Amino acid sequence: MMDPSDSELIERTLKGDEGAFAELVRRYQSAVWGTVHRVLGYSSENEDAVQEVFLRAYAALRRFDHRYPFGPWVTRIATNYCIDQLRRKRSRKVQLWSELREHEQERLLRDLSMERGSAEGASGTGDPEGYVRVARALLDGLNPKYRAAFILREVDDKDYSEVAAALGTSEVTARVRVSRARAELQRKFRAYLSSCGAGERER
Amino acid sequence: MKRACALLDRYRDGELDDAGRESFERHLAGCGECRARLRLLDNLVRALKMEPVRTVDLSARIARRAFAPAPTWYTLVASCFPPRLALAAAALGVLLFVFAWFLPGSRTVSAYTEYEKLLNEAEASNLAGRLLVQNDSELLLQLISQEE
Ligand SMILES: [Zn+2]
Repeated sequence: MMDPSDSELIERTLKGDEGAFAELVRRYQSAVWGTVHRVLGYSSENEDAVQEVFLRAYAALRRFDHRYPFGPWVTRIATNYCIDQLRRKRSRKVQLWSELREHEQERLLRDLSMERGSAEGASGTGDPEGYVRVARALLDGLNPKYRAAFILREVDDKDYSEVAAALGTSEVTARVRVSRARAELQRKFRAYLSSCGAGERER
Repeated sequence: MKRACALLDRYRDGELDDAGRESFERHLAGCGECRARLRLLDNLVRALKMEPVRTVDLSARIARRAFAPAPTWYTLVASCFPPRLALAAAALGVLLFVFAWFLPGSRTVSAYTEYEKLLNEAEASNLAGRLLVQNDSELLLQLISQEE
């Protein structure tokens, strides 16, 4: 027997079939976990975020146009939710960066500005958790809209039309946001470098 | 910043044709600024992609919550008080109920009241034909993000 299509599940959900909605959630929850984690960063609150995204989707489900795929629509709800959370709780992420000792900061910054594959560079074998910390510290300083755009494009590898769909903007706006995020990240990275006195090593 | 630096995004996104790519790569050889940005992005993105995403199956719990009856004013009031105060809360609730009964549209308090308000706004704007030209869910979410 063939698995029911998304739109069949949606129809059954709207008729009151709880199991059908559970199946729909099962199909898309890992995508939503991913969006929440990548945009917001790891937190024990992510579970609440995932639930909230699907409850919002459920609340809006009867207005969902079945001709469109469900995945991008729920990604959009997730993205909106995350941006909103970032706006409300700027202090959600503790100061991971400042928790690091000065020499750790300097080493990570030096690694991150190195060419791929260099012996102690960010080749993935060095200190992945440390790099993630730096990346998170830099991302935390970005405008939530730029940050979401950057994650969708660079980390989730979505093309600009998908980024635009998730953000609810035009493709041009999506491009502008990704481009600004890239430039901002470099600017903030420089600021960190100079605060560690490691600036001359960047080039 | 040189003019060619503006092509960095197109280059990173793999959108330049062969000739464009070659000329940007010549630019890169002489532009430390662009080189540094590309290197940094490479390294940051690689680190972020390696980060494992923890997932837990929430499907049954979410479906149960979605299908639970919307909390009504008395369950909300009751949940604010310890059991010994429940009676007082119930009495207060009766008063509130009598009051609320005469307010149009406030007979139940849904967890998604604000959200539903937005849905209704979107529906109202359908009259202006706006929903005919785009997916209504997109318009909805626009309304919601404006609101936020
Ligand atoms: Zn340049």
